[in-house]
Amino acid sequence: MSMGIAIMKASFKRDRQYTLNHLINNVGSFFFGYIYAAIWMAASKSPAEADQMVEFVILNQASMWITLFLPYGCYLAMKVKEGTIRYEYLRPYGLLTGSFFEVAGHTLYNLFFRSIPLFLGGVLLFGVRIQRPDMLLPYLVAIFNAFLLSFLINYLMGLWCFKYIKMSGPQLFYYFCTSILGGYYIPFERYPEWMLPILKNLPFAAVGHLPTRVWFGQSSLLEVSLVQWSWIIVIFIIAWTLTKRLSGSFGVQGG
Amino acid sequence: MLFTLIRASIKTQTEYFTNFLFTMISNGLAMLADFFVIAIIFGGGTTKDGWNMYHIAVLYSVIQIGFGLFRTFGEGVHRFEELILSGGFDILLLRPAPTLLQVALRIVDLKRVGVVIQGLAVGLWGLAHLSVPLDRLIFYPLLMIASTLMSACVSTAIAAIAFWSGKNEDINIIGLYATRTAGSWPLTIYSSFIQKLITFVIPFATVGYYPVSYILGFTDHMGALLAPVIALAITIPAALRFWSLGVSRYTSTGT
Repeated sequence: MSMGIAIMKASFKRDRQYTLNHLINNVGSFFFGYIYAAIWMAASKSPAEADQMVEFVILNQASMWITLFLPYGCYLAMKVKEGTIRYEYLRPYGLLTGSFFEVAGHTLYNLFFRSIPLFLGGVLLFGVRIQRPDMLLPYLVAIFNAFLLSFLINYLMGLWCFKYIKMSGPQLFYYFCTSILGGYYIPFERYPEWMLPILKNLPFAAVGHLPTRVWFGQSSLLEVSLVQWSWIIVIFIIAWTLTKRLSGSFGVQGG
Repeated sequence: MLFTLIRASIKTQTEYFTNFLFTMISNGLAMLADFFVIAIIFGGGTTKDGWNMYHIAVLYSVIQIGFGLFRTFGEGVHRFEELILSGGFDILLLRPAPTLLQVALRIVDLKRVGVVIQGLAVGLWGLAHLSVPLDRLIFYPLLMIASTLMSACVSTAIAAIAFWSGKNEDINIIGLYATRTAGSWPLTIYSSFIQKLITFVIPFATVGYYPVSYILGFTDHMGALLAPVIALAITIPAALRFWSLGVSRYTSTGT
């Protein structure tokens, strides 16, 4: 465990070197949030609906940095390309464990230097308020579950590189799925009613929209966690098995 | 030489053919996801000045096709930071061809063709549901060219910043991605500040909202139709001048 914390700290410190760039990036990210907020305000039928949609947009814009924008293939794509992936097998911990703590450190950095500033921007500029403080803790638990699941999905995409070297295809496909099925941009209530039971049980919603439903009190933490942990267990088993199988049979670029 | 550069770039692109094919399809799907968001938000409604889903589809297609075409033939400009950080720009200075052309054609990114195809499909779908007179419709293909040139100008100016700052990836988020996204929606949904920003500073509205308003019959003012000509007459020389200034200030960061 102490080794894991050491990896997290190192990963966090590495990101700190680029804080200025990330703050500029935050302005861009906030601008995106503003665009979607403006679109929803234009499409809303009442001021109350508009306010809720702005809160929805800002909340998701902030949470994306913890649940969606994880490092490209959990750094595996870069390591395969550079050939440094072989060194990962010399370390006294497994590839999956090492990747987890490395990504966790990066995500912790994102929480402090991206998500919180973006949310505070929403509070200052759009007057977003925490309507139900009692939902804050359950929401954070749901976000943590979403991070675990997102890590595993991204890790699986990283493993794709062991076979096919590049991973832009699966990465874009994943973004496509989360865009239309994840509920980051559109609440599920806007979809046709028959789609709701399907959408709510997909892994894309488990990383995207389900935590937001907890925030708004539309779903209980238990209900959401059940879906999230079902997927976490399934994808963990796949990731663990594939890691074992692929470790002895991949070609290294460079090095 | 132009065709040699293109041929070499295509060869590199198709080296990992499975990934190439998957990425091209995913690129197109990602675009479709964006449009899906529009369809859900504005399903049966309109903005306060009367833009419905089909109108927005046409506007959206003009901006997206321009961006897709530019990324296909100008990806090298978009990823110019890599050349500056590696010191690779030195080599281009020795060759007897304009530096900007060499940078642009360094990467012909055929995977972006998926974006162009999807954009075209969305635009034609929108037009098929609207009664646009032929004497206005003929300007639609011209707008795609204007939009491509505008994306190229904005991207060139942002790339040139790297001559001073070294890195420009984060500036791309706000300077290109966010403003392009903002330009894909009717201008009237934004605050006056954003309207001015995407009309006069990073003028995507001049190749999108204004001329498309004319084509779709929201205005008969010839100024709206001529907006791309006026804007490009200013932005093309300005972007080229800024690039030249950057080249004259360039000092290698390589070994």
